[in-house]
Amino acid sequence: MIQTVIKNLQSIIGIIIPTGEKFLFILTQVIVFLSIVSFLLVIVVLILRLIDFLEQQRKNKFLAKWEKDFYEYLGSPDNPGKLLNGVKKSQYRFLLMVMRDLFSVLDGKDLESLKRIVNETSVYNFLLADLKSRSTKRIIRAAYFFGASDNKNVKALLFGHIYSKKSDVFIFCARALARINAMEYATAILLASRYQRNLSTDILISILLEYKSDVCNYLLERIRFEDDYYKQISIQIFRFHGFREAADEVLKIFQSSSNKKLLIECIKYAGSIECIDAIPYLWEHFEHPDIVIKTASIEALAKIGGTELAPVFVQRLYEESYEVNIAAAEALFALGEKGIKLLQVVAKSNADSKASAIAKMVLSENFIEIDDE
Amino acid sequence: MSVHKKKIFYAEDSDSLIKLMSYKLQNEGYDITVFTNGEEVFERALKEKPDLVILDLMMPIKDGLTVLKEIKSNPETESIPVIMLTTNAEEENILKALEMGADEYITKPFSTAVLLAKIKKIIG
Repeated sequence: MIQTVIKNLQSIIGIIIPTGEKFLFILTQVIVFLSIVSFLLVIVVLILRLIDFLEQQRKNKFLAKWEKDFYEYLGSPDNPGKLLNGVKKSQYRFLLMVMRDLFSVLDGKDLESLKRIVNETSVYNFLLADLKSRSTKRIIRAAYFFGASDNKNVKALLFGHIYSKKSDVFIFCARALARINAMEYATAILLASRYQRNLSTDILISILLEYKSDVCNYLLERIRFEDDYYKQISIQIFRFHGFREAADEVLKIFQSSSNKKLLIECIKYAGSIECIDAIPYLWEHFEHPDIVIKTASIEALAKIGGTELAPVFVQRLYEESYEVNIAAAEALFALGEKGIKLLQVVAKSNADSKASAIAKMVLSENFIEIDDE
Repeated sequence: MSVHKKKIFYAEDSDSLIKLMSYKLQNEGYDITVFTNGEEVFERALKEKPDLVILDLMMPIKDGLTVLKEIKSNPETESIPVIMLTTNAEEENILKALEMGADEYITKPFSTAVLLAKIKKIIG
């Protein structure tokens, strides 16, 4: 019976399946092989767990001795070198683990104490060796600590890594340069970011925002010589810092560019700094066929404009695009009493159920009654 | 003669910060109980009536604002002073916490000396 099934299978799949004793022999061999592999896997897992356990033990033993001195040192004017007396280099990774957690939550004298450990003790050379190594993990660790410690001596070494193909290396080294406020590398970071395939614009912006606000002056000086991508990112940085000095240059870009992303950034910037000079250009884009540009223009005008814009926003409530309707309703709300009254009128009317529903939604989101009488 | 130690509840999910603050607070003579999430803080506060509660805003299981609401809405615990630990990005939550009755707030990153000074100001 089984042999008939095997023969049928052979004819279907075209492979000769051994039968009888030969079959049993091969089956035994496969089972033995799988048993050996499973056994080896169990051994590997046990070894890894043992290594992890021993590492944890070493860490706990070290921290039990060292932590008390470390907490005493934090915030004090003591020499950080004393803290490392008797600490072996192989134990530095444990102290760096503790310091890494604290760097992001401590400020004032505590933060200064942490910086001094990195900048004034043998930890500096330890991290320098990391930064010069080829290991991604070590480079990232060094970049983090040098950035957090505001160590200006390693700027050139950090710069050497920003054209790395590994996005983690780029992100950590660029962020460290920004934290150090190494202005001379801001353009290089922007240019190098193009070679990073998996880097989002949000991450790049978050890196550049680590710079102090004077990075805006630096970017402004170069903006006219650079391409649209550079301009788009720079304008976002200006907007986040509320940098009004870039208004003239951004308006020139606004008038001359046809790049959608760049136009949207110009519009958002004009709105955020309430740039009155931008109103004529915003009007031009108010009728733009692209919904995103039109929506951005409505939002910007709502921030800059006065109540005379209210009827225009009401018209936009009846347009086809839902995004435009929402933007118009929020713009009316932003205008204050007159805009809210108009929203209430639209909400009560049944002429266009979509416009009415959107007006009701914006009013209720802001806890305003539809009928104020 | 035994001296009554002021009791502080400290709820925070960062292990390193818990260790540091525990050390600093014990050094200042406080009796500190730590929580790594917000789950049990209110129940324990109801039983033990600490002199002060320090709550991190972002905590697993139950966040700081929920715990604050529980403490401040119960007549037995409403008088316990609460300090909120927040980050700068949580301005809205800072206002919410103050409206809900938080006595003080500290934004991360912070200086331990400043936190200790605020604690002393509130409970001595």
